[in-house]
Amino acid sequence: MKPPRASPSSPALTLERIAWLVAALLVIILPHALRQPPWVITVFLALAGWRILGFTGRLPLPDAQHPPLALLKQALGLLIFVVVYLGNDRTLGRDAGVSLLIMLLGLKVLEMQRVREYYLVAMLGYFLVITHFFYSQTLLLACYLLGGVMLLTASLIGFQDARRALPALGRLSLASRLMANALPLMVLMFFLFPRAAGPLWSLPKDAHAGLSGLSEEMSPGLISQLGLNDNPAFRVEFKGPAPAPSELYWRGPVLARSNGQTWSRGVTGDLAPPPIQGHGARYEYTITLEPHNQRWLFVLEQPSALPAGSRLTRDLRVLVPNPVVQRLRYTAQSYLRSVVTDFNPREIAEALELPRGFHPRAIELARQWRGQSQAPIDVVRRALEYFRSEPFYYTLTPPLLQGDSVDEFLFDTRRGFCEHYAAAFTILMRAAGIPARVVTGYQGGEYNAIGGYLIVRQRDAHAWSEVWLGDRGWVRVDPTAAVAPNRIERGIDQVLPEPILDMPFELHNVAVRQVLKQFHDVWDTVNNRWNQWVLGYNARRQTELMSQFGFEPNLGNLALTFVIATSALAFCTALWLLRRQTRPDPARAAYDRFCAKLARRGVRRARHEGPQDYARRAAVARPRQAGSILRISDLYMQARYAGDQRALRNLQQAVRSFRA
Amino acid sequence: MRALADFWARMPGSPATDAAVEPLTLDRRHVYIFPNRAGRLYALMLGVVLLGAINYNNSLGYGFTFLYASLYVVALLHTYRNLVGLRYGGGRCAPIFAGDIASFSLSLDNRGGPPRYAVALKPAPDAQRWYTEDEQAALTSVDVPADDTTAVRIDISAARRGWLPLNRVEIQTRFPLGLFTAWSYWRPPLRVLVYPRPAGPLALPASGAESDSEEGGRQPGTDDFAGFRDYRLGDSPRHIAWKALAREQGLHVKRFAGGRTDEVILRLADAALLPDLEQRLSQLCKWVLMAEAAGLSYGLELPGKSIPAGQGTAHREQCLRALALFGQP
Repeated sequence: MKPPRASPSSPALTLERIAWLVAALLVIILPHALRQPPWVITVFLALAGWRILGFTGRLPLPDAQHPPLALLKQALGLLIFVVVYLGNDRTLGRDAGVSLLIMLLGLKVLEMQRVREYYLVAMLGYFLVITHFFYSQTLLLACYLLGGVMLLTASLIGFQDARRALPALGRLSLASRLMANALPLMVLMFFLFPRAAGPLWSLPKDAHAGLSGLSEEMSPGLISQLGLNDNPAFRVEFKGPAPAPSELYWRGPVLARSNGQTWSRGVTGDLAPPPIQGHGARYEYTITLEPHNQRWLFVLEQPSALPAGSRLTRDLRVLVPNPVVQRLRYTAQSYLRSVVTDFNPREIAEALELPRGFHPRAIELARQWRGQSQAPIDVVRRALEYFRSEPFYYTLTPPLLQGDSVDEFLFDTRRGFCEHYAAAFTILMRAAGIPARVVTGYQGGEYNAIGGYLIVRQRDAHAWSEVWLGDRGWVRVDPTAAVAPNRIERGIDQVLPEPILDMPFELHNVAVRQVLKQFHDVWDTVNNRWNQWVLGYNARRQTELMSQFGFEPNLGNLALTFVIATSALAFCTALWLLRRQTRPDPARAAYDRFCAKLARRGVRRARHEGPQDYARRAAVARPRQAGSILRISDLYMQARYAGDQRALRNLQQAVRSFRA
Repeated sequence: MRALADFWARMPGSPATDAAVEPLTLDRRHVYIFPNRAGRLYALMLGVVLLGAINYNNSLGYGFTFLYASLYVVALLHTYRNLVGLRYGGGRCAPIFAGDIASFSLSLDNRGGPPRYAVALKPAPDAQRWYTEDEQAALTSVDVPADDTTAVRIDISAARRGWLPLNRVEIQTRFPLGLFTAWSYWRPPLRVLVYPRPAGPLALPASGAESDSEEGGRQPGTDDFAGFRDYRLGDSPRHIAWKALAREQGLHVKRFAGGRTDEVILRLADAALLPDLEQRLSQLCKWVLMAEAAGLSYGLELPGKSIPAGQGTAHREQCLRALALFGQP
């Protein structure tokens, strides 16, 4: 049997070089720690740490000199594979891929012995940077990862800097200089590279997981705290003045069916749309929608002109063919006062359905009101009056409802948020024989004076009701407004408890709040630009941009423009980088002029000749100028090697007046 | 176009690599650059992330892919710049004996240039080939500060006596990122004289017939003071008239009369016992060193060349040189 060949690690893989690489990888991996199970990062740290500790000599490394450890290492690699595969429901999608990559990187750091492997790890590090963007594409993350790329590049520079001439700071500064040189070319490529419209192959199922927003179901009472956050849902730019905040109802999913606990979409909702008659002012606006992985778009009630590529449904939702997984920008028009009177018996029947065996007390109350009222509108008023006069409270942290959610809310707890009120109101209406349904979406928004747009956040999510009033058609009724008018008129901030505003509780000072608000506005404006110009830059915007410059935006033109423009810029970068870098030392320049003058008289300075030798030889050859020749070389040596400024001036003068 | 053709003609592995004249300044036309294995790995990574960005239509994915691509271009330019404009600033090498290592000292002239890092010089191998990353990392390299000159040493082993020219020198660098290798060649006008290897089993031939046995243990050639003469390069410091020097009368050497009797003439025929010429020359070389060390006055007689007896460093060099170049043009 052949003894195992001992293959010691290349001497080029020093502790310093590996430590740089591991530090860069750590910086790059860190944001994944928020999303990956903690053991993934731990495994990486342990494996990389093992390699680093191996340098101290206290810990044996799993190389050919320690066969059992080498075997352990291979078993570990296999184990990582199996655990990730089983831990991710036997699929290797986005999350599993990243887990594997991180841990196998750790393993590679541990076992690398050749310079080639060092480079392989570095290349995988560059690759790992890109994986973050499948999760998040914020400006902050991009800046952070630029730092990671710089660190990784600096570790490559450190690897090449064989004699360690550059200190750590010098490496980082050279890395950032390289990246700064690369920046113009990168920007040009970003805008001109022909963008494809669709994916090249199918994406893993979890590719767009984790996008938040409204869902198509609503279960008031089952959740005790609304998942409120400050994430933007969409931003709106109005062409012309914006409507009053209380008019800003952004329509989303419409829920017409209830099983007593959960509300969901009705079956008649997807029928052909009814005619809409608009009255009064018409608003035109452009919405930049954050991806929510759903098919609906949000528009102001009620739409009159739809965004391109979308369609309207019977219950006035705006749908696009595919879920929105990229930030989407669209323009729509709406009338705030509009009438939908088109009667559809199936739709009305569905809007009267009550879940069997639920809400007996509510139904009884509603029937009682119906008996005492003349017209449906009276019942509506009666119900709103009920919410207003009885001790109902608007709260974002209502108690859980154990039994019949509507009855318990209406008669016992009387605490809830928009979903509770909308659901209870709709049930009351149906019980009174008035067709009604729940509409969800967003209400209000916050005006950003700096960017000149309205930002609607997830915490602006809202639910309200619509009732069918015969000749007046579908009419919006917002029962929450009866309980908490501030919520509708002045926005959710007025009713939110303090912590949700993201402000330390000491900050009651109005001026400080003003400043903070200003700061938030600036930050959001920057983000909005980022979204529109960086993240929202796609095939369509590229086409628009090309058309603006007068190009026919077809693929051939795009490709040609890309090749020509990037080559030209690369050429300019080359010219700039290869330009004469340093001006010769002024003392040297003067001395060279002196030598040239002598050379014209045949006294040429030899390459190997120092200034003193040359002066001696020249003085012999031109004895009449001997004095000035010796003086000039003295001055030159003082100016050049002693850094004497006065000698430099004298030298320049002496050379000027020197006649060989 | 010509530059491009030139470039391909000098690609490693190309038959046309022994180009006629390589200038001693690395101008743009004579610096070649190509992605090495790490650079090709980088290109592969670039392709993968570009496909990913296209497939997921991921804006930041695109952004960073293009950052990497631009960084690739910039790395190429920086590597190229690390070499372009460097000049050969002269060099030298002291004579050595065959079997030793000749250490050429070359001066890299970077006046007016940017700082250059990790520039490696080595004698160009006869057969062109790529160095692996590990071999590359093991090469000694120098940093050349901006607007300055730096000396670098190139070692080649000298197997045979005679003139040993420093043929082609390959200058190359991978700095800063190691993704590209830029290289060029110099053919510096440098050669080193290689003396025969001092070796041989034979004893130093006896001194001339008139050798006086009475001299016994006394230092030969130092017995009777016979006056002064001017100092010549190679004279033994023991014979310098230090007192005269102290009186500022110049550098003189004391002459002694006794040396004449201890003369030994080394002839090629004395080593005729040895089978071939090279071994005889080696033997003569060893004798020269022995005679010099013993302080004898020695001369050399080779067919077509004879050096009268003498001693001192200069005389020794003269003899060794004659041995090194014996029978060579």
